[in-house]
Amino acid sequence: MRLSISSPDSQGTGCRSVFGKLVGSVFFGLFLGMGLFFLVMLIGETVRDVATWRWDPTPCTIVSSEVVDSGDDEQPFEASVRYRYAVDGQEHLGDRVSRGANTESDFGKAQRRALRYEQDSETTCYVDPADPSRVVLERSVPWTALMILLPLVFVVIGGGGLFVIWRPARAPADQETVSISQEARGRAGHRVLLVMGLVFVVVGVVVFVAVFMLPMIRLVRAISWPEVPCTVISSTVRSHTSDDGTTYKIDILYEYEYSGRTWRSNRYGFLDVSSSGYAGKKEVVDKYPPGTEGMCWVDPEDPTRAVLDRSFRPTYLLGMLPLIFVLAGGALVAHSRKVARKNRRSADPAVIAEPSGGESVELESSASPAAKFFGIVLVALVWNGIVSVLVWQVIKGWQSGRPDWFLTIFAVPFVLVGLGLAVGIFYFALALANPRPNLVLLPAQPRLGDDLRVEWRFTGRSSRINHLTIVIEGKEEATYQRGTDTHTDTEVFATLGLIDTVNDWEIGKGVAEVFLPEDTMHSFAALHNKIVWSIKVEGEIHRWPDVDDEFPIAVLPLKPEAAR
Amino acid sequence: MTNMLTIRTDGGRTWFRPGEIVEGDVSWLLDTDADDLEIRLFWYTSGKGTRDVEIVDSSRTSVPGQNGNRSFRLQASDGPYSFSGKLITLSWALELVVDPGGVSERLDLVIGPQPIEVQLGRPDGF
Repeated sequence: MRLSISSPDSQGTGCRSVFGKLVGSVFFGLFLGMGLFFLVMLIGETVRDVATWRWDPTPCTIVSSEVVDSGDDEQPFEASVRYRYAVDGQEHLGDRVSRGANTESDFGKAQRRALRYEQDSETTCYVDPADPSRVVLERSVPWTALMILLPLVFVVIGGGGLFVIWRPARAPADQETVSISQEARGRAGHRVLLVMGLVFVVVGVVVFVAVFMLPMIRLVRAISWPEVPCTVISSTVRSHTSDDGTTYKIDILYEYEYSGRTWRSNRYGFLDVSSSGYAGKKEVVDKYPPGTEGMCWVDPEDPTRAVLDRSFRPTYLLGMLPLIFVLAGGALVAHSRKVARKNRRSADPAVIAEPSGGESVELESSASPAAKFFGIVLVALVWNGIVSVLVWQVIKGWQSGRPDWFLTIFAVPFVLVGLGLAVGIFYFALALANPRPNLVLLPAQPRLGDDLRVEWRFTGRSSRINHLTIVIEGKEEATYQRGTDTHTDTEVFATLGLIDTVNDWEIGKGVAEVFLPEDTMHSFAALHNKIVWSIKVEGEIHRWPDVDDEFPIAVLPLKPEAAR
Repeated sequence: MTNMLTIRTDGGRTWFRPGEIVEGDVSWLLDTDADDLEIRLFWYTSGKGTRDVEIVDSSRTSVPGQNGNRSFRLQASDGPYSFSGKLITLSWALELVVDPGGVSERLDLVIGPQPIEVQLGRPDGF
């Protein structure tokens, strides 16, 4: 039986001071409170939605159906449908289409809903048997149930944090009575990571589809839509104010004729979302004052759908930002799987019992120059992309003559890190042109007490290297938590020299042998503690990034017959 | 009265070679009846890093009563060796654990090619 797991060591993490506990409690308490609040709200909403499916289907007659002004500035259109129905011989008048708000920011949506219920037509409405005045035309699909996962994450984080802070400390018992092996049972931290990662992925994909994929699909479809004349009825920039500031949206209502009937739409483009930046939207609205005659494009299959501007705009690319959530979620899922695998298996390669064969193996570098380059490009793009929003706010403040000094000073360290990353891109781009070492190891799986043979050969211009050093290095790697940060410390315990030369004819290619001592430690990889062996290749190049590669190797324990 | 747990290896040995069988016996004298007793052979780390623990072999006794004794025979693995470095110490041990209650007794062992744990130093490269 093998069980591998880890737990906090005596170095302990966690805030044990009263102040730390209080601060932590407030922090996690807020998480828990907010999570519970929204959880209760969503559950209540879901229950009420589901309840409409138990209401009695009843025949009803539509009295009137039209799109009206809802009076709401953010969602100004409402499908107003009035209908008659009878319960126990008593006639009632209803006006609710469905539970919840029936207002829309898109005129077309309200129009489509109103068109479903033509005047004097017969349809079915759903009446609450407990209160016949409560009636709807459309029963609600409880989509809100899907959103319950979000506040649940807050509840888990908040509740988990409070539990960790306030759980009773272990009794200060005699060391001999505290079970250590018990810590190998029943830990499942990776499952929390897995759930969080999946939530990130699902939310990221849903938002990505909503704000990028769907607009792009509509954009492509609109290429074949017919062009018709249209007249602007009203045009304005609508604003939405929240704790995060004010956002704006273009709202141009226009009228057009298609298939012998007059229609209305207020769709300007396919990415009609409320966002910051008033001036650009005002500029567009000013081009379409009421009464303006222009052209719009109409969906021939559904004339309630039309658009004034069907061109591709760079702002559409902002819809790809949710992919960052998908990537982050994917990384969490991958990490949780890695942790789970490590928990399931033993601490490889410490217990690998395969005999060391005589065959050689070509080693792979821990990170190729291309991987390093693309890695830093990715980090720099994400970092500078986020910081650019901050910088843009600072620039806008300075341009308006009202600079925000606090924001400006706050932005400085972030900008400096961004510049450092940009310099890093340049450095690693130069390193791409470096000669690259190829190493062959014999035997393929060396054991302690083996003679180890290493062949090296450079591809590219090895003559540019002035000084070459190749060593085998053994090091300890200890990973631990400090507060919320994870740190890894390393300590080299063995350095076995293979070559240290400035001779050109030795640098390009060569062979060296070394004896792996019997009285040292073999490779070992637990979740937080490792013994790592690797071959390090360092080549100095004047006025250029140096060659600096590391090739991990697995050093096995002594041959069983030698160890026993 | 207090709980008394005892672990004894054959010949009082505390050093075993990798892959060797670890044999001995355990005895117990408990305040109350226990459901299970388990003897575990495991390694654990201490030092700077978060602790890792792995149970390599174990043997469980059901309905042990308030007192008794029994022998055990557990198989050590080929690694990892007991070692001590600047950041990490890896130790092997036998542990007798009472369920429920978690009362336990531990006997530290060295498992490796030599009677003492491997000491990690820093030999010169050239």
